[in-house]
Order: sequence, then structure tokens, then C-alpha cells
Amino acid sequence: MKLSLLNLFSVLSILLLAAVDQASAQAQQRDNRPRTASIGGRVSLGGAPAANALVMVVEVDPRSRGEWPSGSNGKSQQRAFIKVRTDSDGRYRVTELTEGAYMIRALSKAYVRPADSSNFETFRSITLDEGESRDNVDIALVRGGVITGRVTDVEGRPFIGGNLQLSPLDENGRPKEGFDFDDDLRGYADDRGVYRIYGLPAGRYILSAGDGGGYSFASRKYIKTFYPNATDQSQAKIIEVKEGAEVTGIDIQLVVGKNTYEAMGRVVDAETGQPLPRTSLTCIEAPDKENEGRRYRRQATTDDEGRFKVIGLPPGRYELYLEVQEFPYSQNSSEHYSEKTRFEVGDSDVSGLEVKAIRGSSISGVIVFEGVNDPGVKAKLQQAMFFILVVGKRESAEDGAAYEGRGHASAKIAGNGSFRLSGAPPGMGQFHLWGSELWIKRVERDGMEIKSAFEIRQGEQIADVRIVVVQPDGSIRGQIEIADGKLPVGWQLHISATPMKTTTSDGGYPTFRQGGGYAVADEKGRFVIERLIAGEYEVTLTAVVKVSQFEWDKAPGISAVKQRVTVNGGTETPVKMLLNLARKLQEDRQ
Amino acid sequence: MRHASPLLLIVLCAAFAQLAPAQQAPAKTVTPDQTEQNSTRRKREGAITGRVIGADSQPAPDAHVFARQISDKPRTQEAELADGEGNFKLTGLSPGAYLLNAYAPGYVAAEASSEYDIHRIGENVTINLVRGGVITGRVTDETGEPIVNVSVITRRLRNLEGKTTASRFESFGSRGGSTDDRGIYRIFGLPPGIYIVYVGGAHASSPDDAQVTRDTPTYYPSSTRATATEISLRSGEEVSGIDIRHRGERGRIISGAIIGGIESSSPYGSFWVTLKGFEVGRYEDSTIPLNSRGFAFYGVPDGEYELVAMSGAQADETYSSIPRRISVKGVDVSGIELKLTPHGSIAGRIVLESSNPPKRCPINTGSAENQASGQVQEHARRESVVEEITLKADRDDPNQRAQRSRFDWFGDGRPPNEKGEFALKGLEAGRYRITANLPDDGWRIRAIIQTGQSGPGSAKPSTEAAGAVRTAGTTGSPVDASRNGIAIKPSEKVSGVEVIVADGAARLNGRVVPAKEGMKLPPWLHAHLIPAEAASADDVIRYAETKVGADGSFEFKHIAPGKYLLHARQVVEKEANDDQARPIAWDAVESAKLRREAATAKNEIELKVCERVKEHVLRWQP
Repeated sequence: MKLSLLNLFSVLSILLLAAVDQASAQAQQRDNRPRTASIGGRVSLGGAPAANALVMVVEVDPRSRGEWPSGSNGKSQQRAFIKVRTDSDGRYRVTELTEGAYMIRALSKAYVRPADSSNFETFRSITLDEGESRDNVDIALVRGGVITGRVTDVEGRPFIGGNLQLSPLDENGRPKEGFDFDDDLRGYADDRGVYRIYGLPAGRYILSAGDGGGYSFASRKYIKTFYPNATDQSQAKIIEVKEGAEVTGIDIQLVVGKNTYEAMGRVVDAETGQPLPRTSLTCIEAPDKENEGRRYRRQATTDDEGRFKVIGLPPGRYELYLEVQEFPYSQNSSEHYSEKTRFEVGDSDVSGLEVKAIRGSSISGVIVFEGVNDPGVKAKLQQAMFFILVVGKRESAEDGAAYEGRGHASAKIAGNGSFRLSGAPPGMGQFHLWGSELWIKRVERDGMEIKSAFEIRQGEQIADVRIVVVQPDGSIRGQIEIADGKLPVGWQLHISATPMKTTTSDGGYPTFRQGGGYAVADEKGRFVIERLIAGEYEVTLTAVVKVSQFEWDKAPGISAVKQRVTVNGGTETPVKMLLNLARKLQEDRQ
Repeated sequence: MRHASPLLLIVLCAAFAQLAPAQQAPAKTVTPDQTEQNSTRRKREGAITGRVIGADSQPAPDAHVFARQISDKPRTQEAELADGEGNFKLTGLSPGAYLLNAYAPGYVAAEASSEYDIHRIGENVTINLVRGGVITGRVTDETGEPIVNVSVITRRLRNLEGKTTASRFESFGSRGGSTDDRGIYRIFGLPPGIYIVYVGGAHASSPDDAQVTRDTPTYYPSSTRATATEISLRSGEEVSGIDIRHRGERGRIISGAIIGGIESSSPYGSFWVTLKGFEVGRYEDSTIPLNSRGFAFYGVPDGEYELVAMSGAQADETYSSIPRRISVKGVDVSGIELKLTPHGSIAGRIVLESSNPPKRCPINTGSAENQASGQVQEHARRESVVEEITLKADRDDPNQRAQRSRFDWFGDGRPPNEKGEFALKGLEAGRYRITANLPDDGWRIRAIIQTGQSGPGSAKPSTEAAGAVRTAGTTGSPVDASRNGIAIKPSEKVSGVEVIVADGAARLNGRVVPAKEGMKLPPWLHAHLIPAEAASADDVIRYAETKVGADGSFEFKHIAPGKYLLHARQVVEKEANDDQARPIAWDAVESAKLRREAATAKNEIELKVCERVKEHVLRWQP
């Protein structure tokens, strides 16, 4: 079972944490922590010691695991950054370190994990206690493979600035899932159409180009073409990459697509029929399995007469809607929402399209603090992203999702806490507050607490909504113990904390995004989940294995461990969890 | 969390879709409550047509043309080429001022667009692109091993004619690439010019830049900025072998925090800090603290610097800190606090004055070429409207070069609304001069007045002092703001400024020739128009100054009818190449000196209402 959802949440958390991080203005004092810890290990290349290899040791924020930190990050100014080289035995040692979380990296992006490695990452993440001397932080790498070639069209013109994407294949020759957005598998064609993709793990791949993108702003006259010149994925020629080897001449000849066309029409107010000037629209390819997540999109704005023209559309199916409905939600609020206008482009321009801007409902009220005294935190409310997501019940819940998105409304929160969300479609609403340190605790409507199914009717003006926010200051500090063995290399322990007072029992949709938290344990089994509202939580521990840049699989044979924890405001609740490997090891022995 | 997950999936899939390469910055939506207003106005919507030319007067294939409206809420309209001849038509444009850009694979604009490239509805514009150049080479470390996946940055110092453009354009125009597994980089799509190339310093965009980000920048071939080798690149040329050997010298860290200002409304923050060096080459860098107010610059070489924090580009209120000077000598500098204070602004109204009877000059169908960017416009003008004017507040400080507000990123000013109301924001304390880009050759600025009255009510300058508006000099009486500019105290919001636009303007095209046959003209000349009457000596608004081209040609536009002295003045190279050189008329002493010289040379000319003088000859006497 893919745990991409867990990971998407962690991506979100990283964004949120970055957004809510305290100003480090106060942390400008000299770092006086004792520097008595050290890290040492061995770097090997294809099994042999890597002499004179570059090793980088970077101290990181313990909460932001998973991403190698970029240099220009204000928070990391106090953090150690050390470059050393290995000796002739491939050994390195870095001393005089403070306690903290560190990432260790060797060589460069041109090197990858060995084929038999179960560890997806090429770097090591460790935590040091004060004075700890950590040895055997070894890194084993092999030289990655390289694919290079040239992309042109049938007329021989180079595909300047275009994107290419490699897809790794599994044992059955089918593209592995979860690699669509992998940065390490992307290539770019230069002014000659030449590309070079390096640092590839050995294996079999197919390569495609012509999917748009790049800085050429060329109109999409090309159809996605697989090496060497196939538009059908099943006809793509397989490229075999071996460790440290370069495969050259992987040239793609792009199939020129059909012409592009224009779609024209008007945006009108659904009620009055009046045209809406200066309104922005998004025109996007209709979703289907082929273009998941990477749908071709154009944009247009209506003129003073409410007319728009979208250019550069290749034949296909499209959807049109008001741009205000795009994520990330702008705070240019609109009174309208639109349903999707669907159309198809065949072999000519399309005209007479109409996008009806429907006057949405409005929700106004006030946000009040409970137990928040810090004016700095209060001021952050104005900078927060506040919006309501509206969903409707799905008729057929085939893929388990009982609800489908209908739209949203977002707003700025005024200095006195008042707000007005406008242009909301009808359905059930869920309030969200992002980018501040505050969580929603309670939503009241007309004086009554609404826990679920915040209903919005068509064209309704809802007033007197009161949203209570708190500054969560409870936390969980946990220690995981592994019974019967050591955690295998490449495994990670992910912990989530979910509030127990959920409100779906009555079938309604929760009125606000419930607080909660997420953490990844360090290699000592320690974790901290901060910013929790007081209450009861279900803490779930899952052992996972990273399989692609954005996805983890549940570790085989290990079931999740759940525990109920009570969090109190302003305090840290200690938690101990036990993970039993015994069953898995038994399987191994057989 | 279980029930939130599907929602997160929806939301985040949309997020990823958003992250896919965007075509262009999307326009912002304006609430459609202006429908009523618009229907009562005479709607004028039109097109800009033209042609995109690549190399050898041939059309540039696959070009896309974008028109970006100059305004606080810019809209962008795009068009593909209509045919194989390079023709395009941008339609559905409302009255205003637009900047045009064309993109075609393999081509690039020779210069970034400037205020000279402002176009309006009804024009026919030829956009000249040149073939992009290529710089390529290999980057190695101190031991000679290739450095993999680091950013290599090019910086264009000046164009091939030696002209420096404002650094603001340069930082937008710096292009870069990354090294591959062999340490080889290839940067393409470069406009012609003189370049330096470097690695290291804080321009970290890829995580692997961590290897070099804390080291001082190493310039080709293995130098500091002072000894960097310059690379000359012609259009379409490939310069290879630009190998850089990284010096590996640890740079210093400059860090601190931003205080003051208000929290921005975007969770992603809109603070940023710039660091500028004073020595030759002017090391420049900027950083964006990710919503927290702490900032840090890495890999900074020793030297003298100036730090400025800014905030609020998208918001109505913008802030900056007073430039802080710091010295870096071998140790990190930390704990710097930059305090944000709100910017001042100048607000007011453009008044279109119509004489009685109106002096409407005949529509001209001439063409004008911007030498630098290569955009040629032809006029097929009809009646212009006030929204097509753009205004700028240029900072006038004899001790510094005239600078525009740091927020005027593209230096193209701001238009007024249909009522002629304008607000020039983002101004630090200082003295400012209002300049305008006028859509109609028949228009001229007759006067700029700072009244004591705020608001659009007064049609004429009022003698009442009202509100919190401060006037220069005596309270209440209107002041000629063109004479001494408008002084802004820190955070001061000046209003009640009137820019009076009149009609009947004249135009003068001419050529400077040497007085004696066989004599050569000096390489750099400026031409001046000075009001001839002694009584008008202080009428700053009637002074005009323009560059003389290499062939001696010059052009004056938007000139008030009257008697003038025409004068050519030799300038030094530095002033000639400085886009932001201070006009002589702004300096009383220099202006008087110029006037005396012009009176001696006695080249008199009288320009009548709507007159178009074409081939006026001005003899140059050293």
C-alpha cells in the first residue's frame, strides 16, 4: 500500500513549518553549546574505499528531515556546515560538533545507491547527543549511469529548452509508479536539443519528450513522443542503463502535433446575463489517466466586454473555469464561482463558449482567540491563509472518497478578526487556517457549535459565524523501542497523531481541519510532535520504506502500532511505543 | 487525519498541477463591479499589431508575443504568430500603456525592455530579436576534479557598444546553468554583450550548491571579482572553454533580522534583503527570508557593503530600511537589525488641458525606433486617453545618481486611472521629479504643481490648505513642483500634485554636424533645448535634453511652442553610458552655466504650435 498521502502531508508540514517558524531574531546570540560530539565513517565506491572523496556534514533542523537544506536559508545560519575529504582508506571524521540533527553526504549527484541497497537515500540522517562519538556512519555508492542524446523534430529543428522525462521500468517492463515527478529523472534540452541525464541507478527506462515545459514558450505543436519516435508508450524502445556507463545517441524525433486552435467565448453573470470584464479564466486539459497531475493549461482574461480568447490549444478535451478557484488560493476574493464549462477542440477554432459566473454564498463572522496572549501571534492571523473548502457528497464512492471538491472561498482576516468569505458554492464547508501558529478549536453558527456538516445553500448570506482559535502548545515526545532486532537499513518510522474527537460518526463532514501532527523518528527512535491542542489523540506508528522521491511503502509484514495519548496544554507528554520485528524476522529465516 | 486525507490529496494534486511550468504569470482578477462604470464610458478596446524579426530580417519562427499592461494590477495578453511571416496581432487590449516581449526558441531580445518600449493600442510594432549566444566550459575544484550540479551564473556587464544598463535589469537578466557529471555547463539564450561568469557565493538554487555556497564566488578563470576575465559574446556566438577552477575560499556570513513593518498578507512572506558592494564590479546579492524575519548571506568576500531590507511588493503599503553600511573583514557579521519604515508616496491628478479652440495636432504616421531594444513602432494613432500616460517619480539627489524607487522594478512608471488620478508609491525620503511618457506627440507637460489641496475636486490650483497635506514653502499656495522637485520626508504621503498636460506640442528632429568640414564630432554629445526668454530661465519644465546618436541625429518631442536656444554639449563617457544620469536642468548651477554657453553659441529656433521640424542642422563648435 502506497503511503503517498503520509508523504504529501509531510510536504505540507514542511511548508507549514517553514511558514510558522519563529523569527530567529532572538537566536542571534553566539552558539555556546559544547562541541564535543563527532561523526566518522567510511565512504565506499563499488565496494572499494573511496579515497579523497568529498564529504559534507550539515546540521539541520530536526523537524525538517528529508530534504537536503539549501544554502540560502536564514534559519541555517547558525548551523554547522563542514566539508572534509576521506583519507586513502576512504575514512572521514568530523569533530567538535554540538548535539543536534545532521545529514551526511558524499561525492555528488553523479553517484547513486548500489543496486542491492535497500536504502533509497544516498545521504545519512543521524542525531547526535552531547558528546556522542558516532562511528560507522558509512556511505556506500556506485557511479550512476548516464543517458544522453538529441531531440529534434521531423524538420531537424532542435527542441530548445524542452523537458524530457525518464520512467524507470519494473521487472515486467511497465513504468514504476511514483516517479512521474522525480526531479532526478528529468532532463532539459539545450540550444542544440542536446540533453544529458546523469546519476541514474542501473535499470531499464523509457524516455519521453515533447510534453511542453521548458523556457522556449513554444506553442505545444509537439505530441509527447517516446524514444525514438513513438507516440504510443507501448512502442517506446527500452533503454538499458548500467552502473557507471554512458548510453549515447538516445535521440528523439518529435512527432509534430496537429495545429493549435483558439477557444473563444464570454463570461457572464449567471443571474443577470451581464458580461464580466477583466475576469481571469483557467483553461485546462480535461483529466484522464494519461495526464494525471500534468495537465496542459492556458490562461485568458476577459476584455471590457467580457469576451475571452484562449490560444494555443491542441485538439483534445478541456475544462474552463474562473481562475479564482485555483490553488494556492489568492486573496483576491470574488463574489462568484463557476461550474466547469467543458468543450472539445477538434480541427478548428471553437467559439460561442460561455462560462457562467454564479453568485456564490458568503460567510462572514469573526475569529476570536482563546487563551492567546502574545500579540505577535495574534498579528500573524492577518498573514494567514484562511479559506473554506466546499465539498459535496459523491454519488458513487468507487475509490473510497466519499466527497468531491466543489470549490472554495478565501479571505483576508481583518485586524479585528472579522472576515468575509465570498463566492462559495453550495455544499458542506470545512474551514482551514494555514500559515499561522493557530488552530481552529471550535466553529459556532448563530451561537451554536457546529461540529460537522457546515451546510452552505445556494446564494446564502451566512453571518454571525464565530471561529475560536487557539495556539496549540501541547506536544508529544516519544521514544520507540524495537523488540527483537534492529531496524533494517532503509526503513523509517513515521508517527502521526490524530485527534480522537472526530465527528464523522453522524456522516457529516468536519467543519474545520482537525489539528494533529506528524513526525519521523530519528535513528534512535526518538520523535517530537509539537503544536498540538490539548485533547485525546490516537498516535499511530508505521514502519515504512522509501521507494521513490515522494513515496513510501509500508514495511512488509509489520502492522502499525496504535496508542492513545492525552495531550495537555503547555506540556510535553512522554510516550513510549514498542515495535515488534519478531514476526518479520521469522519470515526471513524461512 | 483520516478524513482530511482525501481533501489533502485533492488540494495537493492541484498544488502539483500548479507547480507545472507555467506559461506566464497569471493576471489577477478584478471584482466585476465595474460593469456599470464601464458601460457608461466610451469603450475603446483595440489591438497592437506587428512583426517579430529574427536574424537576417527573417521572421523568428514559433515566436510568442506578450503584452503586459503597466499598472498595479497588470494583465498580460499573449498572441502566437498569425502567419509564417512573423506577423502577430494582440487583441482585446484596453487603453493603457503596454510593454511588449517576444520569445522564440533560440532567440533573445538584445536588451531588456525599458520605458522606451512602451506601446499603445493602434501601434504597429516590429520586434527585433537576435540569436542567443552560448557560453560553455567546465568547473573543477581546487584538486582539479569536476564539481557536479552546481550553479554557474553569468552576469552581463554592458552591451557590445559599451553601454551599461541599470543594475536592476541585470539582476533580472542574469542567466545561469548547472554543471553536469563531467563538470560541464552550457548556458544558452544570452543577449550579446560583455560577461563575467562565476560559481559560488549565495546564488544557490540547487541543493548541491551547498558545496560552493559558503565560499566566495570564483570568477572565470579562477579569480576574484577584481581580476575576473571578461568575455565578449556576439549574437549567436558560442564561446567555449570558459573553464573555472573553484578557489575554495570560505566567505563570510552576514546575518541579522528585519524588524518593523507589518506582517504581510501572504503566508509566504514578502520581505527581502539586498546586499550591494561598493568596489569595482559591485557584488550584488539578495535573499528572501522564508517568512521568518531572519536573513543570511553566505560566501561574502571581504569588502564594504550596503544592506537594505524591503517589504510588501504586492501590498498597498511598501517598506524599506535605511541603507546600512557594513564592513566585512575576515569575520562573520551577525546580529544586524534592519528596521522597516513605510515608504512615502506622491499622489495627485493628471489634468488634460484643452485650449480653446483645441490645438489638436494632426495624427502623424511616422515611426520611431528604440536603438537599444530594437523595437520599432509605427503610429496610426487616434485620440489618446489619459490612462495611456505613465508617470514616474525619479529620485533627484546630487550626491547620488538619480535613482528610481526600488519598487519600480521595470522602471516604467505607473498610469493614472480614467479620472487621471495617480499614486506613485514606494518612495524613500528624498527629492523627486515627476517625469512622464506621453502617448500622443501633440501632448506636452505644461506644468507640475503641488497644491495645498488633496483630492480630485479642484480643477485649478487652490489656495486653500487642507487636510494633512504638506506643501513646500508657504502653506496653501501652489508651488511649481518642476522647479525643485517634490521633497518627501520619511514615510510622508504627499497628495494634491497636479500634472497639467496641454496640447499643441511641437517636435524637432535634427542632426549635429561639425562646424568645419573634415572635423570629427566628439564621441558623446547631448543636445539641449533651453527657453530663449530671460524670464523663462527658471522654467525647468521647458528645458529638454536628449542623447545625440552616433550619426549626429537627435529628436525632441512634446515641446511647448515658443522660442528656444538649441545647444549641443560634449559629455564624458561615464555620463553618456549612464541611463540614469541627472539632467542638467535639475541643477541650478549647471543649468545657468549651460544657459550662458547656449546664449553665446546663439542657435535660436522657434517652434510653433504642432510644428514638426524634420531636418534641422546644428553646427558643432568645440
